[in-house]
Amino acid sequence: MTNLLEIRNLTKSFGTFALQRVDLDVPAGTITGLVGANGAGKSTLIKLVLGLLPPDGGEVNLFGQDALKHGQALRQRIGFVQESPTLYAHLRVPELGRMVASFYNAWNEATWRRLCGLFELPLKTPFSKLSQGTRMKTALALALSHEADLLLLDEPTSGLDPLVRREVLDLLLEVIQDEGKAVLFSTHITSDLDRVADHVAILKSGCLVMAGAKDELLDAWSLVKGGEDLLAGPLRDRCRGGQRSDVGLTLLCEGTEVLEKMLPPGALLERPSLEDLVYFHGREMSIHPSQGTPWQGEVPCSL
Amino acid sequence: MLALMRTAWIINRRLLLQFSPWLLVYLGVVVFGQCDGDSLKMSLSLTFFATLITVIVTLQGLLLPVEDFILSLPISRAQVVGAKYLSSLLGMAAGFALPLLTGLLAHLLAPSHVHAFSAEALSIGGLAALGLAFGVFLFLPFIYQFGPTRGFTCFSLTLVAAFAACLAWKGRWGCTKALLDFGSHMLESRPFAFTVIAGVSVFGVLSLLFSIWTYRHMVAIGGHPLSFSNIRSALARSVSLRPQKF
Repeated sequence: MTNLLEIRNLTKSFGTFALQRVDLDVPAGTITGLVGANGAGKSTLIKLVLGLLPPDGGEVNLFGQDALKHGQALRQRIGFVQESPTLYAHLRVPELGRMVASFYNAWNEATWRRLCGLFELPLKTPFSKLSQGTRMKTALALALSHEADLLLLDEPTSGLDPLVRREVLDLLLEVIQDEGKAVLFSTHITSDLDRVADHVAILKSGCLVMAGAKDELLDAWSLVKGGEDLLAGPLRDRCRGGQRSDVGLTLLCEGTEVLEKMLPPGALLERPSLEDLVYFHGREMSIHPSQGTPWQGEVPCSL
Repeated sequence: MLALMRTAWIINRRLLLQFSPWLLVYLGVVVFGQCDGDSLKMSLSLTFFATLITVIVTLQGLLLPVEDFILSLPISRAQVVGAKYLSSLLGMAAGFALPLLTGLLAHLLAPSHVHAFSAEALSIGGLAALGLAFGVFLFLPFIYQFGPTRGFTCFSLTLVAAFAACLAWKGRWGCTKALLDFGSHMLESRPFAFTVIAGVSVFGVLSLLFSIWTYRHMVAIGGHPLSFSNIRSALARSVSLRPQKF
């Protein structure tokens, strides 16, 4: 499978934030979800790919070419939707279409009209008067109308009602029916990824802590529930985060079958959800007086 | 570049349509100014109209955080800057052409009531156009160096500082007199006028090159569109002269 996007050792820092040595591939024919909390670096990563920000180091290859050198030409093949799309406030949807059309060689007027109809975009209302959901749909329609090979979507479903969200996600699935296309979209709504993503990359505080095929990731991790004795045994070394509550511990641990042999009596092993991976990975627990040394989740930056 | 100019046309056409009631009223004022044949009145109304249009065209895009969207399109940053210069100058040309054409039409329709623009009024208008072009060439590098909010603030502070320096140097009326003398000299002496025009053109080219160069190194100015609240906060932060970070 060819990678439409390859990111290697990408770094960028400003102020107290740093995106640290990110490696990521987006294969053709897949939807890759970039998930993380607000401020994790999702938007920064997408801006770096697009060339909106210059990286401090590393490489971004788009369609096999250096994105820094050939950015202008490569952007012909990219559709971008920014978080809370801000376009020219006083322009109406058809004017926005005419405006964007003139930039792209492969603009497809029929697709644009179809999407305007599908999304029921109002044709006579200025962009500034559109609701957040309709703005997002307008931006999506613009991004999808020039036959882009790679869609970069920055939180496309945030602020959308469930019906529209589903429409948008279905549309993404429709896009990748063409095996030569791919979608990279950032979100903090893990249920969106559950529904459509083939690959998942999890960002935490600028670090890419997990990346890979969604099902493989879910199969590679386990959620262990039990008492305080969980941390006393060999399980501790395999844990990457957890939470302490009144009823005991919940730990996110690497592995599945191998863990079963390490479980103390009464402990339970469960398959985590994507939300569990995002939530528990690197989550530190408060120090319990009964434990000898304080335990902290470990957040490795390199995979 | 063509696509950017087309974009500028779509945006400005809509803007001008939105402002059309006011523009029509002001075009009426321009025609009214032609009634008594006073050259100064004609040139002032002409200049005011042209300045208004130039400001609208130049500021469009700076009032909204659309930079991320524009830069995500398949264009280079140099093209973005070049298109902004070109659209500002074309806007200025349209700003002069519209009242001139309206005035000409009004004169042709009612020659006994509306005077044609005098040669003197046109000359003064030409001087104003040169000054306006100079203003655009001075303004845009500030925007591309510091971002809309800080750039606008720095540009305004520069104008205020220049005015204050002139006041301190030449006195209260000395500045006005120096400006008028400069204009008169330009109108009287062709070589001097050509020298000034050449000087402004060179300044324009340098301004464009600087803007292109500095915009390539600019991180992002999106998220800080030009607004009064942003200007206020920029002033409150006492304007540290560094490029804006988002």
